[in-house]
Amino acid sequence: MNRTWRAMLASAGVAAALVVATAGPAMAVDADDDPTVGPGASLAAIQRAGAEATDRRIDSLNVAIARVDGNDALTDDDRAAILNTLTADLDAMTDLAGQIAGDTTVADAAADYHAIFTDYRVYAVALPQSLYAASADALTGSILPRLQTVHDNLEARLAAGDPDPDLEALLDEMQQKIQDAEAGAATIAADALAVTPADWNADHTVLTDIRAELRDAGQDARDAARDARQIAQGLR
Amino acid sequence: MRRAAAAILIATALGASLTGCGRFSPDARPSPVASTPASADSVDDLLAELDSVDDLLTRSEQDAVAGDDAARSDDAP
Repeated sequence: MNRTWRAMLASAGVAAALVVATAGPAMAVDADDDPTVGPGASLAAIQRAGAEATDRRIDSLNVAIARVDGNDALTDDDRAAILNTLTADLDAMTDLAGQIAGDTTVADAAADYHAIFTDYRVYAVALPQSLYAASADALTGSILPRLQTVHDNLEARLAAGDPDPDLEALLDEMQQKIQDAEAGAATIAADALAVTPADWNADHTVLTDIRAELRDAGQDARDAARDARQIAQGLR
Repeated sequence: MRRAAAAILIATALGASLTGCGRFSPDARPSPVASTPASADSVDDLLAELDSVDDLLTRSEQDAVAGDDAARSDDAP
Protein backbone atom coordinates (compact mmCIF):
# COMPACT_ATOMS: atom_id res chain seq x y z
CA MET A 1 0.00 0.00 0.00
CA ASN A 2 1.59 3.26 -0.99
CA ARG A 3 1.76 6.33 1.15
CA THR A 4 -1.04 8.13 -0.67
CA TRP A 5 -3.47 5.32 -0.04
CA ARG A 6 -2.29 4.99 3.52
CA ALA A 7 -2.77 8.69 4.07
CA MET A 8 -6.27 8.54 2.57
CA LEU A 9 -7.23 5.57 4.70
CA ALA A 10 -5.75 7.17 7.77
CA SER A 11 -7.76 10.31 7.13
CA ALA A 12 -10.91 8.27 6.67
CA GLY A 13 -10.17 6.39 9.86
CA VAL A 14 -9.62 9.57 11.80
CA ALA A 15 -12.89 10.98 10.50
CA ALA A 16 -14.74 7.80 11.41
CA ALA A 17 -13.14 7.76 14.80
CA LEU A 18 -14.20 11.30 15.44
CA VAL A 19 -17.78 10.34 14.67
CA VAL A 20 -17.54 7.32 16.95
CA ALA A 21 -15.93 9.26 19.75
CA THR A 22 -18.63 11.87 19.54
CA ALA A 23 -21.65 9.69 18.95
CA GLY A 24 -21.15 6.66 21.12
CA PRO A 25 -19.34 5.36 24.15
CA ALA A 26 -16.80 2.60 24.46
CA MET A 27 -15.99 2.20 20.81
CA ALA A 28 -12.37 1.62 19.94
CA VAL A 29 -10.98 2.92 16.71
CA ASP A 30 -8.83 1.14 14.18
CA ALA A 31 -5.87 1.65 16.40
CA ASP A 32 -3.09 -0.27 14.81
CA ASP A 33 -0.64 0.87 12.24
CA ASP A 34 0.57 -0.51 8.99
CA PRO A 35 3.24 -3.04 9.91
CA THR A 36 4.44 -3.49 6.37
CA VAL A 37 8.14 -3.01 6.27
CA GLY A 38 8.73 -5.00 3.17
CA PRO A 39 11.79 -6.37 1.50
CA GLY A 40 14.19 -3.65 0.57
CA ALA A 41 13.03 -1.25 3.26
CA SER A 42 15.75 1.06 4.40
CA LEU A 43 17.04 1.21 7.95
CA ALA A 44 15.57 4.69 8.28
CA ALA A 45 12.16 3.50 7.06
CA ILE A 46 12.10 0.65 9.54
CA GLN A 47 13.15 2.99 12.32
CA ARG A 48 10.37 5.42 11.43
CA ALA A 49 7.80 2.63 11.37
CA GLY A 50 9.14 1.28 14.64
CA ALA A 51 8.93 4.65 16.32
CA GLU A 52 5.33 5.08 15.18
CA ALA A 53 4.29 1.58 16.25
CA THR A 54 5.89 1.81 19.68
CA ASP A 55 4.64 5.35 20.29
CA ARG A 56 1.10 4.35 19.49
CA ARG A 57 1.22 1.35 21.77
CA ILE A 58 2.82 3.32 24.58
CA ASP A 59 -0.01 5.86 24.34
CA SER A 60 -2.67 3.13 24.34
CA LEU A 61 -1.08 1.25 27.21
CA ASN A 62 -0.74 4.36 29.36
CA VAL A 63 -4.42 5.13 28.90
CA ALA A 64 -5.42 1.52 29.53
CA ILE A 65 -3.37 1.30 32.72
CA ALA A 66 -5.00 4.41 34.14
CA ARG A 67 -8.45 3.09 33.31
CA VAL A 68 -7.81 -0.35 34.73
CA ASP A 69 -6.72 1.31 37.95
CA GLY A 70 -10.09 3.02 38.13
CA ASN A 71 -12.26 0.12 36.99
CA ASP A 72 -14.19 -1.05 40.03
CA ALA A 73 -15.78 -3.95 38.15
CA LEU A 74 -12.50 -5.87 38.09
CA THR A 75 -11.56 -8.18 40.91
CA ASP A 76 -8.37 -7.30 42.72
CA ASP A 77 -6.63 -10.38 41.32
CA ASP A 78 -7.68 -9.67 37.75
CA ARG A 79 -6.76 -6.02 38.05
CA ALA A 80 -3.31 -7.04 39.30
CA ALA A 81 -2.87 -9.54 36.47
CA ILE A 82 -3.92 -7.03 33.83
CA LEU A 83 -1.70 -4.30 35.23
CA ASN A 84 1.19 -6.73 35.32
CA THR A 85 0.75 -7.46 31.62
CA LEU A 86 0.14 -3.88 30.56
CA THR A 87 3.05 -2.43 32.48
CA ALA A 88 5.35 -5.17 31.20
CA ASP A 89 4.23 -4.39 27.66
CA LEU A 90 4.74 -0.70 28.29
CA ASP A 91 8.29 -1.32 29.46
CA ALA A 92 8.92 -3.56 26.47
CA MET A 93 7.62 -0.98 24.00
CA THR A 94 9.84 1.65 25.56
CA ASP A 95 12.84 -0.66 25.34
CA LEU A 96 12.07 -1.65 21.76
CA ALA A 97 11.72 1.97 20.74
CA GLY A 98 15.21 2.62 22.02
CA GLN A 99 16.61 -0.52 20.46
CA ILE A 100 15.14 0.18 17.05
CA ALA A 101 16.37 3.77 17.11
CA GLY A 102 19.84 2.52 17.95
CA ASP A 103 19.97 -0.34 15.49
CA THR A 104 22.66 0.02 12.86
CA THR A 105 21.64 -2.73 10.45
CA VAL A 106 18.46 -3.44 8.55
CA ALA A 107 18.38 -7.01 9.88
CA ASP A 108 18.52 -5.93 13.51
CA ALA A 109 15.97 -3.18 13.02
CA ALA A 110 13.60 -5.51 11.17
CA ALA A 111 13.85 -8.14 13.88
CA ASP A 112 13.17 -5.61 16.61
CA TYR A 113 10.36 -4.11 14.58
CA HIS A 114 8.60 -7.42 14.14
CA ALA A 115 9.02 -8.14 17.84
CA ILE A 116 6.65 -5.24 18.51
CA PHE A 117 3.89 -7.36 17.02
CA THR A 118 4.84 -10.98 17.51
CA ASP A 119 6.21 -10.81 21.05
CA TYR A 120 3.59 -8.59 22.66
CA ARG A 121 0.34 -8.44 20.67
CA VAL A 122 -0.81 -5.34 22.46
CA TYR A 123 -3.88 -4.92 20.27
CA ALA A 124 -4.57 -8.56 19.49
CA VAL A 125 -4.22 -9.92 23.03
CA ALA A 126 -3.34 -7.55 25.87
CA LEU A 127 -6.10 -5.01 25.35
CA PRO A 128 -8.89 -7.42 24.32
CA GLN A 129 -8.19 -9.81 27.16
CA SER A 130 -8.28 -6.97 29.67
CA LEU A 131 -11.61 -5.76 28.26
CA TYR A 132 -13.15 -9.21 28.17
CA ALA A 133 -12.04 -9.79 31.75
CA ALA A 134 -13.54 -6.48 32.84
CA SER A 135 -16.78 -7.36 31.09
CA ALA A 136 -16.92 -10.81 32.69
CA ASP A 137 -16.02 -9.51 36.14
CA ALA A 138 -18.86 -7.02 35.90
CA LEU A 139 -21.21 -9.93 35.30
CA THR A 140 -19.93 -12.20 38.03
CA GLY A 141 -19.11 -9.53 40.60
CA SER A 142 -22.07 -7.21 40.42
CA ILE A 143 -24.68 -7.79 37.72
CA LEU A 144 -25.58 -11.38 38.46
CA PRO A 145 -25.55 -11.02 42.26
CA ARG A 146 -27.82 -8.02 41.94
CA LEU A 147 -30.16 -9.93 39.63
CA GLN A 148 -30.24 -12.79 42.13
CA THR A 149 -31.22 -10.38 44.87
CA VAL A 150 -33.97 -8.97 42.69
CA HIS A 151 -35.12 -12.51 41.98
CA ASP A 152 -35.31 -13.33 45.66
CA ASN A 153 -37.27 -10.18 46.35
CA LEU A 154 -39.72 -11.00 43.57
CA GLU A 155 -40.02 -14.56 44.81
CA ALA A 156 -40.99 -13.33 48.26
CA ARG A 157 -43.56 -10.96 46.81
CA LEU A 158 -45.09 -13.70 44.66
CA ALA A 159 -45.24 -16.08 47.62
CA ALA A 160 -47.06 -13.48 49.69
CA GLY A 161 -49.78 -12.92 47.11
CA ASP A 162 -52.30 -14.96 45.24
CA PRO A 163 -50.82 -17.70 43.04
CA ASP A 164 -49.94 -16.50 39.55
CA PRO A 165 -48.65 -19.32 37.35
CA ASP A 166 -47.50 -16.99 34.56
CA LEU A 167 -45.38 -14.86 36.84
CA GLU A 168 -44.07 -17.93 38.65
CA ALA A 169 -43.01 -19.43 35.32
CA LEU A 170 -41.20 -16.21 34.47
CA LEU A 171 -39.52 -16.32 37.86
CA ASP A 172 -38.32 -19.88 37.20
CA GLU A 173 -37.00 -18.79 33.83
CA MET A 174 -35.24 -15.84 35.41
CA GLN A 175 -33.53 -18.13 37.90
CA GLN A 176 -32.42 -20.45 35.11
CA LYS A 177 -31.01 -17.56 33.10
CA ILE A 178 -29.07 -16.30 36.10
CA GLN A 179 -27.64 -19.77 36.66
CA ASP A 180 -26.75 -20.15 32.99
CA ALA A 181 -25.01 -16.79 33.02
CA GLU A 182 -23.14 -17.65 36.20
CA ALA A 183 -21.97 -20.95 34.75
CA GLY A 184 -20.97 -19.37 31.47
CA ALA A 185 -19.18 -16.38 32.94
CA ALA A 186 -17.43 -18.18 35.77
CA THR A 187 -14.10 -18.78 34.04
CA ILE A 188 -14.16 -16.20 31.27
CA ALA A 189 -11.89 -13.68 32.99
CA ALA A 190 -9.35 -16.31 33.96
CA ASP A 191 -9.46 -17.90 30.53
CA ALA A 192 -9.04 -14.57 28.77
CA LEU A 193 -6.17 -13.48 30.97
CA ALA A 194 -4.38 -16.80 30.44
CA VAL A 195 -4.00 -16.16 26.70
CA THR A 196 -0.47 -15.20 25.72
CA PRO A 197 0.96 -13.66 22.56
CA ALA A 198 2.47 -17.06 21.76
CA ASP A 199 -0.98 -18.62 22.02
CA TRP A 200 -2.34 -16.06 19.61
CA ASN A 201 0.58 -16.50 17.21
CA ALA A 202 -0.20 -20.22 17.08
CA ASP A 203 -3.95 -19.74 16.79
CA HIS A 204 -5.43 -16.41 15.80
CA THR A 205 -8.86 -17.54 17.03
CA VAL A 206 -7.71 -18.31 20.56
CA LEU A 207 -9.97 -15.60 22.00
CA THR A 208 -12.96 -16.43 19.81
CA ASP A 209 -14.59 -19.05 22.03
CA ILE A 210 -14.01 -16.90 25.10
CA ARG A 211 -15.74 -14.02 23.40
CA ALA A 212 -18.67 -16.24 22.40
CA GLU A 213 -19.08 -17.41 26.00
CA LEU A 214 -19.03 -13.81 27.16
CA ARG A 215 -21.69 -12.89 24.61
CA ASP A 216 -23.90 -15.79 25.71
CA ALA A 217 -23.51 -14.98 29.40
CA GLY A 218 -24.36 -11.36 28.76
CA GLN A 219 -27.46 -12.35 26.81
CA ASP A 220 -28.58 -14.67 29.61
CA ALA A 221 -28.22 -11.81 32.07
CA ARG A 222 -30.21 -9.55 29.73
CA ASP A 223 -32.92 -12.18 29.52
CA ALA A 224 -33.03 -12.52 33.31
CA ALA A 225 -33.36 -8.76 33.69
CA ARG A 226 -36.15 -8.72 31.10
CA ASP A 227 -38.00 -11.46 33.02
CA ALA A 228 -37.58 -9.54 36.25
CA ARG A 229 -39.00 -6.42 34.72
CA GLN A 230 -42.03 -8.31 33.41
CA ILE A 231 -42.65 -9.86 36.80
CA ALA A 232 -42.29 -6.54 38.60
CA GLN A 233 -44.70 -4.88 36.21
CA GLY A 234 -47.09 -7.80 36.68
CA LEU A 235 -47.04 -7.19 40.41
CA ARG A 236 -48.05 -3.57 40.10
CA MET B 1 0.51 15.87 13.23
CA ARG B 2 -1.39 12.88 11.94
CA ARG B 3 0.36 10.65 14.46
CA ALA B 4 -0.53 12.98 17.28
CA ALA B 5 -4.16 13.10 16.22
CA ALA B 6 -4.32 9.35 15.89
CA ALA B 7 -2.74 8.87 19.29
CA ILE B 8 -5.31 11.14 20.88
CA LEU B 9 -8.13 9.25 19.22
CA ILE B 10 -6.77 5.89 20.27
CA ALA B 11 -6.31 7.10 23.80
CA THR B 12 -9.83 8.46 23.85
CA ALA B 13 -11.32 5.26 22.52
CA LEU B 14 -9.42 2.98 24.86
CA GLY B 15 -10.19 5.17 27.78
CA ALA B 16 -13.83 5.11 26.86
CA SER B 17 -13.90 1.36 26.52
CA LEU B 18 -12.17 0.59 29.77
CA THR B 19 -14.38 2.92 31.70
CA GLY B 20 -17.49 2.01 29.80
CA CYS B 21 -18.39 5.52 28.89
CA GLY B 22 -17.39 8.19 26.43
CA ARG B 23 -15.76 10.41 28.97
CA PHE B 24 -14.00 9.08 32.00
CA SER B 25 -16.11 9.88 34.98
CA PRO B 26 -15.94 7.26 37.71
CA ASP B 27 -18.79 8.90 39.54
CA ALA B 28 -21.05 8.33 36.55
CA ARG B 29 -20.80 4.56 36.77
CA PRO B 30 -23.56 2.79 38.63
CA SER B 31 -22.22 1.33 41.80
CA PRO B 32 -21.45 -2.36 41.38
CA VAL B 33 -22.28 -2.79 45.03
CA ALA B 34 -25.81 -3.98 45.47
CA SER B 35 -28.23 -1.38 46.66
CA THR B 36 -31.13 -2.51 48.77
CA PRO B 37 -33.44 -4.46 46.49
CA ALA B 38 -33.89 -7.23 49.06
CA SER B 39 -35.62 -4.77 51.29
CA ALA B 40 -37.05 -2.69 48.48
CA ASP B 41 -40.24 -1.13 49.72
CA SER B 42 -41.99 -1.05 46.39
CA VAL B 43 -42.07 -2.48 42.91
CA ASP B 44 -40.82 0.89 41.74
CA ASP B 45 -37.70 0.35 43.82
CA LEU B 46 -37.15 -2.96 42.03
CA LEU B 47 -37.65 -1.36 38.64
CA ALA B 48 -35.14 1.32 39.55
CA GLU B 49 -32.70 -1.39 40.56
CA LEU B 50 -33.26 -3.10 37.21
CA ASP B 51 -32.54 0.17 35.44
CA SER B 52 -29.21 0.28 37.26
CA VAL B 53 -28.49 -3.33 36.34
CA ASP B 54 -29.30 -2.56 32.71
CA ASP B 55 -26.75 0.27 32.80
CA LEU B 56 -24.11 -2.10 34.14
CA LEU B 57 -24.99 -4.64 31.46
CA THR B 58 -24.63 -2.02 28.77
CA ARG B 59 -21.22 -1.03 30.07
CA SER B 60 -20.15 -4.64 30.29
CA GLU B 61 -21.20 -5.20 26.70
CA GLN B 62 -19.41 -2.04 25.60
CA ASP B 63 -16.19 -3.28 27.16
CA ALA B 64 -16.54 -6.55 25.27
CA VAL B 65 -17.21 -4.79 21.98
CA ALA B 66 -14.21 -2.53 22.56
CA GLY B 67 -12.13 -5.68 23.04
CA ASP B 68 -13.37 -6.89 19.67
CA ASP B 69 -12.41 -3.60 18.06
CA ALA B 70 -8.94 -3.67 19.58
CA ALA B 71 -8.43 -7.23 18.38
CA ARG B 72 -9.57 -6.39 14.87
CA SER B 73 -7.15 -3.49 14.72
CA ASP B 74 -4.12 -5.72 15.08
CA ASP B 75 -1.99 -6.75 12.17
CA ALA B 76 0.11 -9.78 11.54
CA PRO B 77 3.30 -9.01 9.72
